[in-house]
Amino acid sequence: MGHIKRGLIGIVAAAALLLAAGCTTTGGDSRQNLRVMLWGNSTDIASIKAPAAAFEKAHPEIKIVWETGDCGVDYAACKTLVAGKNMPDVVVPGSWNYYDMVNDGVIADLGPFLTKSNVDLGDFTPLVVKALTSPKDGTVHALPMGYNVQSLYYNKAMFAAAGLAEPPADGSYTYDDLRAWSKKLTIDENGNNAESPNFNPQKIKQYGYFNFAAGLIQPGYAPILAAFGGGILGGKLGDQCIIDKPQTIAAFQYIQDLMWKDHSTITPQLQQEEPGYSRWIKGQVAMQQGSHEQVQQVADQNPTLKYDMAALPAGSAGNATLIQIHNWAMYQGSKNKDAAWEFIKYMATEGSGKQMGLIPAYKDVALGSAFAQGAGEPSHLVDAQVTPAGWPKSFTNVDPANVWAAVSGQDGFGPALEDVMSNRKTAEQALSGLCASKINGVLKLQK
Amino acid sequence: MLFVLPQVVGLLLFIAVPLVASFGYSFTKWDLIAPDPTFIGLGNWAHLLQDGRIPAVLWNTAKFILLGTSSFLFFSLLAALLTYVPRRFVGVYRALLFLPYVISQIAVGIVWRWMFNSQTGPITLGVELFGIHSPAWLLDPATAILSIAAVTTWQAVGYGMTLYVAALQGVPTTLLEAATIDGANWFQRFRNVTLPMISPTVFFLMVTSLIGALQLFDPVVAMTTSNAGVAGAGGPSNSTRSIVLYMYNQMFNYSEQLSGLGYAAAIAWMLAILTFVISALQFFVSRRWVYYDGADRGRQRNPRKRRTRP
Repeated sequence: MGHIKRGLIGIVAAAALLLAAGCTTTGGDSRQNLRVMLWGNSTDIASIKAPAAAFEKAHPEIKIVWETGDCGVDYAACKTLVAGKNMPDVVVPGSWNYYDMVNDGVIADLGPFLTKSNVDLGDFTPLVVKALTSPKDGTVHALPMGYNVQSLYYNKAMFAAAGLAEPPADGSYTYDDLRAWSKKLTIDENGNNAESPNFNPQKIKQYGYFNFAAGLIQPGYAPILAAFGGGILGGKLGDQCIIDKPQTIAAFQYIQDLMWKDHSTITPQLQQEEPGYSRWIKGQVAMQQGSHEQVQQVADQNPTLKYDMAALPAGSAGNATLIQIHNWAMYQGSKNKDAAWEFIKYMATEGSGKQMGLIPAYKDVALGSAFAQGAGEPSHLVDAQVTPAGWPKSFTNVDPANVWAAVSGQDGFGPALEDVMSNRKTAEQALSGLCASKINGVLKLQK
Repeated sequence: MLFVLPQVVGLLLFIAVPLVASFGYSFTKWDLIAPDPTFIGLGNWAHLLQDGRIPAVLWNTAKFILLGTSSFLFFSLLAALLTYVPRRFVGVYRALLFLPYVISQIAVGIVWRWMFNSQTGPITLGVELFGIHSPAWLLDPATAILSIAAVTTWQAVGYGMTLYVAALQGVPTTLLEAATIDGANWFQRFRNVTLPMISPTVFFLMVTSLIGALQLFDPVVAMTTSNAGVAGAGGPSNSTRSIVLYMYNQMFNYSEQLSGLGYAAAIAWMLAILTFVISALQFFVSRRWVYYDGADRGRQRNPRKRRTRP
């Protein structure tokens, strides 16, 4: 037994030595480590590291330790990091889970830092600042990295081939126009468009339109709902059910008709087979509703595609679009708050640019030649993506009451949405009375 | 003692401690963000009894068990009966049948989601070739859980087949020959000789597949999640949301009064108790139909009692 024990002791000693070696820092570096967690693809991450390099140069006392993880895009990942006491100093919350972090006290109130610095919130896009300002107490817990705006992308060659004028860049057209174009631009294998009596909806080779509503997600359908004067949740905190408003029902019916009556739009089933945005990039779809991130995707996947963009059209209530914000925020429990603030401040102001393919929210960076006239940017970028942020009916997808996940899931309107988008029920059948019968009960269960 | 120490330490650290801890958490409220859990006594357990969603998700899970486990046991046995006799290329057939088992459930789910596509999926198009109107499969509440059960069966058949083949090869040929001489036909030989002889394997697969079915999660997420993420999985119309998916929702997606680790732990323990009860029931009933060749289970359990009998 003696030799076994000696062997075991040797193994344990070797393991301890290895562990100690792994835990030892490289030494000699007296800089303060700042852990920053990013998410996104490699292009997104590179777009952040470029301005951050300038920050590190300007702040030689700070060393950024980059990490990649889902905290910011998926709040569940943040929870496990916090519980494991392994939360980084800086994270990038999306507007969709910003208030999860605010209400749970995960990210720090930036008020004290804003007060003692020269950062003026008035220098940022007003809608963005409004979204980040808590409706409960007026606190601000993040600065914007940038935002994306839902716009209409269109294939110039397909419009020309159909003899159609391109959509007005400023959004001075209607959803009825979009529907008519979509029918003209949907073509079967015999060359008939969706207006033709000989049109064969089983053999479509070119679709007129794609909207992420086919993926049952909010950025897809929400702008149409708002343009029609409807929505899912209303009220100051976004905790009042309005999904069965006639305007909401009309908007959902409009989307269903595009998909199933006109056969001119990608359905959930087609979306499942191959995402509509991918079909658009390949040149199989004439129009799509999308955000600025698509510009980079086209550049990467099909740089020969001739396209441009326009602001979203007007519905019965006017023009509206959805804005999603990516933000810089610091962990409430960070021991490097001053360094974190310096980093956040720099990235949101001086370093503002094309981080994660977003529209910069700082001053007029988005209008500057480096951004708006940058290589590969569509010519109507400002009209389609920047100006709509100032529309009165434009809105963000912040969730101050933290109810969206439950309301949009299987306990909430998820099944009704599936019924509408899959053409099992009309919007009226699926949504009428849904607030009283279901959603209000779900809202009552929330904190 | 020294040799079993690593195993004992592993069991204590990775099984016993988490079990005890999760039971403790079921009496607390903790969203993982607060510094510490708050003790709330039986609050989670009381909520479990009042939560109107629990019966629905349990019923979905039960439907999956009925469909998935029975089809798994049947098709695995069928595959084994077709491949257990040595013949040309039988190894290739077995390998092909086993192949899906080594693929991740998420990958399988994504592929089959495309197969079941109600507009362009090969299954839909195949059915419609015969002039039959295809159901919407994963988009129809009536067929969604059936579709998921079919996929999990397809994936697991190779595993069940392998165990059945081993069991079938262990059936003494002398017994089958004797039955044949006695005039038994194929079905009688199977019913009265083969099936009793492989009943321990049937029982093992029944218990383990039922435990696996109670933990249904990955296939549902892979096959029903829209771009809305796991919070939106379990459709259509809530027809495929399993108890484990609901536990995940309560753990990570929801922001209700009791959402978080505590309530999720209570759900997990309810599932564990349910699993134990069903398994115990299976063991109890197995005494009536599982035959252990050459062993008297009663005598094995209490040999002294038998020895003292006059």
